[in-house]
Amino acid sequence: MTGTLTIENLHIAARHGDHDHVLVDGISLTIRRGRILALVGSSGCGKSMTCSGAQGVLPPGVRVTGGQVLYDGRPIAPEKLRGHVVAAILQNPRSAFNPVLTMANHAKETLRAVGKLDSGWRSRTLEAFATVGLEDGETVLGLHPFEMSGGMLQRTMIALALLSDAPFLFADEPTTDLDLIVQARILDLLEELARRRNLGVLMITHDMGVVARLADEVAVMENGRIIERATTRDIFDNPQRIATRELVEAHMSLYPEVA
Amino acid sequence: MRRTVSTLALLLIGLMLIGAVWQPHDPDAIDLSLRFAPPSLDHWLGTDQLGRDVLARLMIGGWRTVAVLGCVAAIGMVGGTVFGVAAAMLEGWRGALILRAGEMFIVVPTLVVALTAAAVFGLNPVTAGVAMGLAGIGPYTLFAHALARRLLAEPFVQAARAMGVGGSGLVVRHVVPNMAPVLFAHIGANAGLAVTAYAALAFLGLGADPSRPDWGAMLFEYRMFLFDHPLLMVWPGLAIAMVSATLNAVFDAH
Repeated sequence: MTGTLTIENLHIAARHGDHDHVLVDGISLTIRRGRILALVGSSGCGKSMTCSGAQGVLPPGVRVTGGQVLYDGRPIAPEKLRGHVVAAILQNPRSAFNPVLTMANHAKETLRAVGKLDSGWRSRTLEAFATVGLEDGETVLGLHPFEMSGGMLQRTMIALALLSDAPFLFADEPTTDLDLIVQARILDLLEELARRRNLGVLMITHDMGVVARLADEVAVMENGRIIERATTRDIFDNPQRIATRELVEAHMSLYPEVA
Repeated sequence: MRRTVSTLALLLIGLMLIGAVWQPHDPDAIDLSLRFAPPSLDHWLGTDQLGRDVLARLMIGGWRTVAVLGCVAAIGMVGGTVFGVAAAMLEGWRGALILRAGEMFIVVPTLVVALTAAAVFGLNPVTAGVAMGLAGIGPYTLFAHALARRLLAEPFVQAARAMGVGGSGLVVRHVVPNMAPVLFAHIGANAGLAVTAYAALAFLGLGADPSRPDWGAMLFEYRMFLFDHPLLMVWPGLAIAMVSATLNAVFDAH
């Protein structure tokens, strides 16, 4: 079981008054290095909660009520996971950066969090910037978030993820807030990096177009449970469950001439 | 508008600070031949009943007021930020305990605490400033807590947490720097009140050292000459009104 990250029987609940409201009801997933696993489902089905729950960064009032995360088959605590094993890319790059810090500060913070901040930080950051296609990295280092476009910020966030050198990447709707052209570029970049750097990617999305473009396997979530798992080809060719079929059909209806 | 009032406030505080290092005359030099002199080139604001230079005394009072402001702002802000952020970081009963303590502090009337401190330790800018600063920690704590909670829920804080940044890093680099501008503006409300409160204390004269010309003490001393030499009361009155109004305006503008 080397090169795997397993979420095992994860339960998440929110406290409402004196009873628990179940948000995630026994999810199990295995992410393999070099593979992209898409976790899909409609809004509110618990896919983002699964992701935050595994990383131990749930919002106040929501907690993990059961389950564990295994790294190469051995249980690992969330605080050992974050940054060291799993890097994260969030949905809205505009709000995912601290407005008062420059990109250099962000890069240093990322390295400091995993204990890798040393005198070589600048050259390593510039290298990561170049890898994600940020030209003129020296200038980018001095920029604040408000001085950058959404696409640039998302590239920077991916560069920070690479900088942490974590073998796994959780990408929660990484392209939802970007325009279509930038979306395509970011998805290509993520796929290329996953293959070349042998990253295991958990891609959370409701966009079957994203799934079709780069996922190897798909897990479909509904009401806090996984209702179907299959390879990407099977999900599109032969969806078993109604929710899956709806997601696929909703996607296909955007391209009437193909369907 | 924001920039204008902020600039004005900084300018006023700068002017008040000059009094710490320089006055046009010795503020305590008595010259009975110059009693109640009107404003002139030598004595810009005239002289008082003992022939002392009013501007020099006003300048001493000014920098003493700034000292009060500094103590109030520093203690309120530092204390409020520490307790407020701690309450936001510590979920559960420890956070709740800090907030309840903060609420209890709110009902403590600032002026009464300052009066008591003046009676016990004597009235000077530091005792008054420390007393009012401590009494002001309560509201600051609740305010800082609300700000910190909102910031902790921000996506960029979540992003930092997800990348492995720990509690102290979140506080030092994410929460506090983003709170600072709002907290600074909030000083305005407290500081404006502190100026009038300190003037009131000095006017009452409890524990005051009569040789130290505070603005409130000048009002008290010159009140006897209100009808014959009204300018003597106008200067300190104008100073108190201008400073407290400007500081309040900074707060309102944000």
